Amino acid sequence: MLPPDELDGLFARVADGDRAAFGLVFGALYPRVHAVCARITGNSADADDAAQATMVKLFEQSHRYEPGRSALGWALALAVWEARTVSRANQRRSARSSSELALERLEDHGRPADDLLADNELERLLAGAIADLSATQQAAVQATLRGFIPADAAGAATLRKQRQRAVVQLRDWFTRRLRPSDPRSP
Amino acid sequence: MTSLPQMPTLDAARALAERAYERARGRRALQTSLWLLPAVAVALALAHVERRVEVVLLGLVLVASVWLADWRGKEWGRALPAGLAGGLLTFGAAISARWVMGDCCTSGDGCSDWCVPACATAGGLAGLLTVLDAGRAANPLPRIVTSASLSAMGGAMGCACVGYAGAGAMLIAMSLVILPAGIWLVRRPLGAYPAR
Repeated sequence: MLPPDELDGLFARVADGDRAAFGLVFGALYPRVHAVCARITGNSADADDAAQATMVKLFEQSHRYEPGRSALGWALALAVWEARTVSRANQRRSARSSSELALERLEDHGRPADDLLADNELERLLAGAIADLSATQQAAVQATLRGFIPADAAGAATLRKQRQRAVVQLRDWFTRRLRPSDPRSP
Repeated sequence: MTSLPQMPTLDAARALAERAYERARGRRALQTSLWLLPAVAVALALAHVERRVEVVLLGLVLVASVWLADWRGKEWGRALPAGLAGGLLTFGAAISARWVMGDCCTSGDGCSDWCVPACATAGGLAGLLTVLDAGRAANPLPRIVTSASLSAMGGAMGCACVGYAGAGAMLIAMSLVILPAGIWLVRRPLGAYPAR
């Protein structure tokens, strides 16, 4: 592991256009950057992404490096930022994908759910729509959302039929609720 | 506990970082080199109709050379300030001579009375600037080559207004200063002067 002073000197060379120092700087910084990213994101795949983004940004902005500044400090500050960005993006993605998954399970084909619903309205609208279904259809939707698979073929066919009816009703419900009001209609 | 990155991930990250590094250097060099376009436009506006092709070609080569030197970096990049200052000095001298003497530089033999000496003097000064700058470099050869080339191209754009005589006088004066001093600088023992 390179001492900080030597690393600063090498980074100054990279900033000056010395390609020979690139590999040395990359090799010295990447493990430390990856370790910080792994600690923040908590998993290896996200840490890889964040570390990669950090190194790209670091070398992209290397011409701004001022000799005397700590290259390691700069890299780690960027790593913290990138890791947090990746973590936040993942949290947003997982929150959204759970809602989308719920509708995708209900809807085998037809219009995609995100055409119909804004993300933040999804849960509320879905709950309202399901509440308007018959008790049998509600049970079919619940079973589908929970991933329930009937043991016998007859049960599976019944569930599929109920689910298809529920999907049709849900689609009508969404269409009615989300269609812009027609000024000519009474 | 998160494991250390695997080799393909490491290689991919390094390749991406290298590409980003080169792209950023290229972009930055482009920004630097595009600053010369107004000077090329001025030279083109002042050049005699018969010399416009030469001026455009010189301007394009100058812009490309500045881009290359700035992208490449190290001594080539560090030579830019001296090279551009030398070029601007010679270019400015030729343009000023034309300004003082009106249209003479674009039409008759009389212009040589002013423009050729102006170009020669400015060329000598640009050569001096190049040598002084290279004297502080650890590796003077690329610095001299880059700085002298940029000075010569910038100066030639301005001195081309009097034809090859102006550009030739500028190049000769510059060579007379750079060649002996440059040879001495290149052959001096390493570490003779603190490098910058």
